[in-house]
Amino acid sequence: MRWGNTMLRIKAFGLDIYGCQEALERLDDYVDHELSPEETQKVRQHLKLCHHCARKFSFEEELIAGMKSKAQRIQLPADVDAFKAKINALLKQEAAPESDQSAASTN
Amino acid sequence: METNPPSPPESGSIGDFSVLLEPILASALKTATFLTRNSEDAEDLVQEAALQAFRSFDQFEQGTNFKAWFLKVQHNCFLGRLRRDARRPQTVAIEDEETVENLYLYEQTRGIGMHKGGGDPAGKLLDRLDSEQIALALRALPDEFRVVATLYFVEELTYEQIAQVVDRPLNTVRSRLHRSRRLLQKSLWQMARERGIVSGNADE
Ligand SMILES: [Zn+2]
Repeated sequence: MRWGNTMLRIKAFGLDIYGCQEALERLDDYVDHELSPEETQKVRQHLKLCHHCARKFSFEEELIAGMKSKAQRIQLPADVDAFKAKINALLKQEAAPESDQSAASTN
Repeated sequence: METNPPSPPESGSIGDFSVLLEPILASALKTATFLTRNSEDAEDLVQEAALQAFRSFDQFEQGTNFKAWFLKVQHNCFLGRLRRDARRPQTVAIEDEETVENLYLYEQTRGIGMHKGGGDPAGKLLDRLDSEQIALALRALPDEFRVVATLYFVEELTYEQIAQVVDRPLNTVRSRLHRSRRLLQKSLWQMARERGIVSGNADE
């Protein structure tokens, strides 16, 4: 009870900051900018105070950013221009099928 | 080729549609290659999706993200193919995914002393991996993880956009994505070690 009250008072003074576990639980979302502004702020506060977590977070940020940029550079085996032409031809055929059929049905 | 046959009125939309489709076709094909794990099937899938999207183009809300809309159509076509092949999307990971810890690569690189002397251990590891290894790791993921991870890493969609594409709640997407990242980290590390890209006594 007394502890509960203390926690409440600390929060009321705006001193509630994340511990390591609370920060680390938010690692993935933080890296992806998917946290609320309040949570982001609290994680940042923790990272300023905790070098252990700061190292982990910057490792993860660097890693995910690097993986993303490498994923962008994955080469397609296919000939993209030929494929685009194929799709265009397909769409044209779809938009204007051998017109006798559609003419017959509209008549 | 020069004399176009008189077109029915609805073919007017083919121009609008193509203008939107053309710039995203290459990445849609890349995504399809990861979904199907096969470049022939990938081309078939994108073709099917292109036709489907064209037929339901009136359902696309102008001004919204066409790529996300198209990828959603493509995703539905992919699910249809899985059903036709009588193969349910895999929900269970190939590996004991529960055992993959968060910060897997952080701990592994630290374990072999890559963090000594400061510097940038993630960068050092990345320097030794190329796009092809990222591709292999992505391709090895089970269906449901591969789908979200591809949309994230290849298409660079946000969680919310991914949720719309796969038509699943945001939290489902979030946890799949986070788990897929752990699986990716593990398989990248395995590849790095198998190929001797990193060496050291990680086995303590
Ligand atoms: Zn900490």
